[in-house]
Amino acid sequence: MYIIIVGAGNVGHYLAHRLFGDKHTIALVEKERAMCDLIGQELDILVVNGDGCEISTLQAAGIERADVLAAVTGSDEDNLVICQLAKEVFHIDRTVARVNDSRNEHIFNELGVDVPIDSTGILARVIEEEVSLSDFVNLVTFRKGKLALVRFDLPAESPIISKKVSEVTLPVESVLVAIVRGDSVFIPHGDTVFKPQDEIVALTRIGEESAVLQTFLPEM
Amino acid sequence: MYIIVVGCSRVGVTIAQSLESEGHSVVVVDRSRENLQKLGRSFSGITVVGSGFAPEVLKEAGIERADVLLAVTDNDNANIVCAQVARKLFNLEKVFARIYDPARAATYQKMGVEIISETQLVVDALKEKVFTKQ
Repeated sequence: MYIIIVGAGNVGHYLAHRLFGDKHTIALVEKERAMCDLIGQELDILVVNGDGCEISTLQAAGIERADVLAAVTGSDEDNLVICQLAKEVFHIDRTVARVNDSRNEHIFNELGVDVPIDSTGILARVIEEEVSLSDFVNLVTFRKGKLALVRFDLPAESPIISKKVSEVTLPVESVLVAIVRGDSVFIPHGDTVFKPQDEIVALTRIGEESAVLQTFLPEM
Repeated sequence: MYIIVVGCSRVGVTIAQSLESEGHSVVVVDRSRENLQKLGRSFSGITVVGSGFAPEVLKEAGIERADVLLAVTDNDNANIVCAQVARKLFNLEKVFARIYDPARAATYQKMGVEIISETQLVVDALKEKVFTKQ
């Protein structure tokens, strides 16, 4: 794929290395001359020294033939405008933007960015999971943050141990996806029976995660 | 009229003072408290510190009862985002954004954002001076 990255800070720099390693064709746009020179020496990619918010700079980066654009500067308004220009002027189907201030994620969705990535929010969630005592992990969110795939271990004290899947009522907006037991993975049926230490994978609407947990975990 | 001015730039200060002296209710929003002090003691309108495109900041500025919003920071992209948030999230009709870059101005004008293209205005004014006989 032909991918344009705008912003060569820590995120853009590392992303360029990774995507280049995956054999994609990369063009990197960066305002600072020194950073451009450095990356130009490291990687055999097109590096454009300029402001990614300017249409002429995006053209110099070959946006007319790009498949994806990722705007990862440290400024939310810049990332938003870069993605909007890519979509409106150059009809790029997939725009990905780094959200610097978590409170702005909603605006990115409203203003048409295909995939806003809230790095602070992701980091905070991971840390929250690591420091909290429960084994609950939000594996991935999709549909613009409306759905989540979650996993957790079923404790021995859970009220649903030895019950069948058909006997357990999940919250309305949730689906049981898989049960991992040892090395086996079960796609649950109505008569699958829950056992202690089962690893549960469920799909749920964001905001319903705690309701899902309440179904499976013993009361605190 | 109830008018929100986002950005305490030179343009922001001048238009806020001017509108207020004409009897309008003016609220000025800026990220920096220091910038807001440029309005001077005589300014009796409300000031709000915060990002001009943050919905909670705009709410605090009273966008739900505002008649007009002017996005006039010195940053094109902040103005563009602010104008779109006011239009799309708060359904405010009269929203104007100041943009220096003529290319971006043309693009967003096409996308339905009301633009004041600062560079184009100056260019047009200069050309008129040059080619108009005294």
